[in-house]
Amino acid sequence: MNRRDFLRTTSLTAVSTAVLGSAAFTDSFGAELVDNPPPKKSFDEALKEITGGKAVSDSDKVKLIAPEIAENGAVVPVTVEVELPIEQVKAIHILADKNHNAKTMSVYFTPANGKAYISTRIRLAETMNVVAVAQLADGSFIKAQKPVKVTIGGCG
Amino acid sequence: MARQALVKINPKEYKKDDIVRVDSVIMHPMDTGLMKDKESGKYIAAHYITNVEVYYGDEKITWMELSGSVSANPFISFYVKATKTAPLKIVWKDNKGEVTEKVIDIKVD
Amino acid sequence: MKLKGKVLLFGLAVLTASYGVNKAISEEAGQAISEEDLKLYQSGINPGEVFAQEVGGALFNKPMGSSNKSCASCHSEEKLKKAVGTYPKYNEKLNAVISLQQRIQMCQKLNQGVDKPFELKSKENTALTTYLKYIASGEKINVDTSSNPVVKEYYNYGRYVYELKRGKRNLSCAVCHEYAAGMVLRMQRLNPLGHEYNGIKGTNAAAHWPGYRMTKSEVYTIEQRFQQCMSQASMKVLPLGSKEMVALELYVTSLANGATIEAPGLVR
Repeated sequence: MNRRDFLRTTSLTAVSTAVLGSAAFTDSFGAELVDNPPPKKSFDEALKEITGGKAVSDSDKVKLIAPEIAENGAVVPVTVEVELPIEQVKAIHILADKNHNAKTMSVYFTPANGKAYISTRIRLAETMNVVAVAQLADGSFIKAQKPVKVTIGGCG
Repeated sequence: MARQALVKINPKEYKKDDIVRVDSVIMHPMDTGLMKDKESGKYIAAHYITNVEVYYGDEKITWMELSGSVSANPFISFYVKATKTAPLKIVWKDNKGEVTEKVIDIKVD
Repeated sequence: MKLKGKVLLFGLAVLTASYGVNKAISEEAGQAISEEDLKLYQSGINPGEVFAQEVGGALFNKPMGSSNKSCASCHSEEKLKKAVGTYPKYNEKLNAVISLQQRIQMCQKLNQGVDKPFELKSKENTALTTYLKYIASGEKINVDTSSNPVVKEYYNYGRYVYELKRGKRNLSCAVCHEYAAGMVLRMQRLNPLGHEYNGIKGTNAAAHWPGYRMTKSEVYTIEQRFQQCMSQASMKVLPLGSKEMVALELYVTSLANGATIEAPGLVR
């Protein structure tokens, strides 16, 4: 069999299946369309919103774990832990400095958590810094950051 | 409409006052509002989870604010100190008003 | 002309690779994702698991068709999970090899009395397939490739489809997954699809599909992944469930014979 024959047979192959209307997955169809994208929020704006303009110092108490090279920009695993007693930590904020909306996630803790820790998956539009800002009970802010390379990927 | 979600406690075996990890996933598209529809050229409206609240018994122990930059089908993991036998309830709310709840029981002697 | 240069370069790389220096090239060609970084992806919950349990599991227990029976009415999960790893498998009634997805359709039509079984590309069929593979996790892949002439024909045809260079870029499955295995393509390592090829460790792909594709945020079957791969490689896309597709699935699954099923996988 040569290539031409192969293509001919495959194009004639019919798939012996039928369509069944399904109500289970309606939400993936007919998404609402709008004229404009949501407003942009830069890293500086987002940071100011969190800190109210207060200074943020780098600290090794904030442990930020993210891959050096992300397998794809749609899913980047990020884990942040603040190595201080839970009573001293009010919140963790995760920012991605070049995203359309730099503010990604804020997590507020109470002593019932036992540990100031958050792990999630975020989107990165391109190679950029991921920044973790910890808001402490005394009103101060500390941070850690890590550059993450986003690959275009192999095939699909 | 409630969505599919899964919550797990890690490790499975724990004692009173252990600090245990709670892993959660909810199936949600997390549309950012930045993607264009190929046919019309318009934007697909933003549709993402904005708030997650966690209750342990009657107490709200942790809460989160999310943006569209969180990946689709968001995975969220955090810690809880297992001080009492009580249900742990996670509530996800999105920008279109959909609410999904999932409860897992924490049992200690 | 730019494209031609690239294709030539790739061809050259493939040529050099076949002389056994592919590891050296991969180190120079680009940085690949490290093992530690890949491990970060594995921690936590795979959303595919939620899909398998909540969507697939619900369909498995849902009565359907004129019989008003569910899959669970006839099949015990204990027995069923032993059978999952043997698909694609020869079917006497059809005198052909069929995939697990087609077996589900057959069961729907003949035993449940469903008028129109779930389409192969439907989420429902994918969910049931994923659920079956999910409950079979821990079992081994064990497909038959030689017990009768029909099976042999499918197996050989599968190998033919795997090696056939097609499309604008003149690529076949084998070009990337055998000759160029171990090399890096835009920061992604090209892996053999079986246990190993030429000393390069493979992924036993068939054991991890259906898989949750992180780039698409959805679960796909192995045949759908073949289609996406063909489309990226600018090949004519083969229809799901066609003889070519099932033969290819049989061949690729046979490469993973003996591997432990861990599905749904978490894949890029």
